[in-house]
Amino acid sequence: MKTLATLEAKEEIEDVVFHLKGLVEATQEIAAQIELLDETIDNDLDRAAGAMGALEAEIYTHLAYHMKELRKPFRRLFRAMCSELDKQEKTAKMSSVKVANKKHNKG
Amino acid sequence: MSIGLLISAASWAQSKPAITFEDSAVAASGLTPGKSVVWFGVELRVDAEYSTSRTERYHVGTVASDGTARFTLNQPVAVLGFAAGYGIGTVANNTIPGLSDSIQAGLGKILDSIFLSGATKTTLNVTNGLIAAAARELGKITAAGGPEKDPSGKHHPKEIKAMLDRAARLAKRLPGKLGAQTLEKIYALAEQAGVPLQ
Repeated sequence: MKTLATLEAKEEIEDVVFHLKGLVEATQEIAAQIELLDETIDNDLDRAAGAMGALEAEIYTHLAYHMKELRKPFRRLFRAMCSELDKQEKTAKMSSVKVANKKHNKG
Repeated sequence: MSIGLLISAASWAQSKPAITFEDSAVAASGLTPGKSVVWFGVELRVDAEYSTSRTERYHVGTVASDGTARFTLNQPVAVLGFAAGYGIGTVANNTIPGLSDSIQAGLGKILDSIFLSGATKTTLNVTNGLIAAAARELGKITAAGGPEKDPSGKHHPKEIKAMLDRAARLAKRLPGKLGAQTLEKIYALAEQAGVPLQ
């Protein structure tokens, strides 16, 4: 997966970035195994079974691991962002009220 | 129902054996008359309420003078899948219940693609999938220049451990040497990754 320069520079969200990247890598591997399954299911059952084994490992262990581990840090980050957004909106509102008041007082 | 036919090398005639299903029996032909044949079957029946019953059957017989052998069942054969092959493989599990040691030792070999090893193949393929996934993650640590230099150093070992713990649990279900060899691979990877397994 490509480097996520901005996200990866933020140490405080390292967990979230790691698990998001893990999810993408797991799904890329799943896509590759599905393609292998498609190529082999009618002519090479042994390789097709290998693809199925890899699919099970990727879906139920790799993907599931990242989904489980991502839940808390993801929620924490999301809440923090929303509360920051809330703060910014309140500050912006306050500033616009102040500007309006100033204009009103001048008038 | 899946039926496996275990043919000792001696009972395998020149022609390729064939298996046919009858109403309440399974028959094999193309065998050498007078030799031993071991049948085993795993029957999985699903009733209308989707509960299942699994029955294992074992039978040792002798090839008739016309080169045929018959495995008679006490109820109609429900063929859900058929797993039989004619390649002689190695014994995946040396303890086939109901067979005396001498018969097992005498036969010595088993067909590779039998139903009983179908479950083993599933377990083995998933275990291999987990080993490959763990090896890929380990490769990332190595590519980063070792655990100290890996930017995700605290995460990778945990991820590898999750994969190898499950792989080890599955590998313990694999028979004999196959299980031991697979576990060996798993422990070697765990050691490389520096993760203790459960």
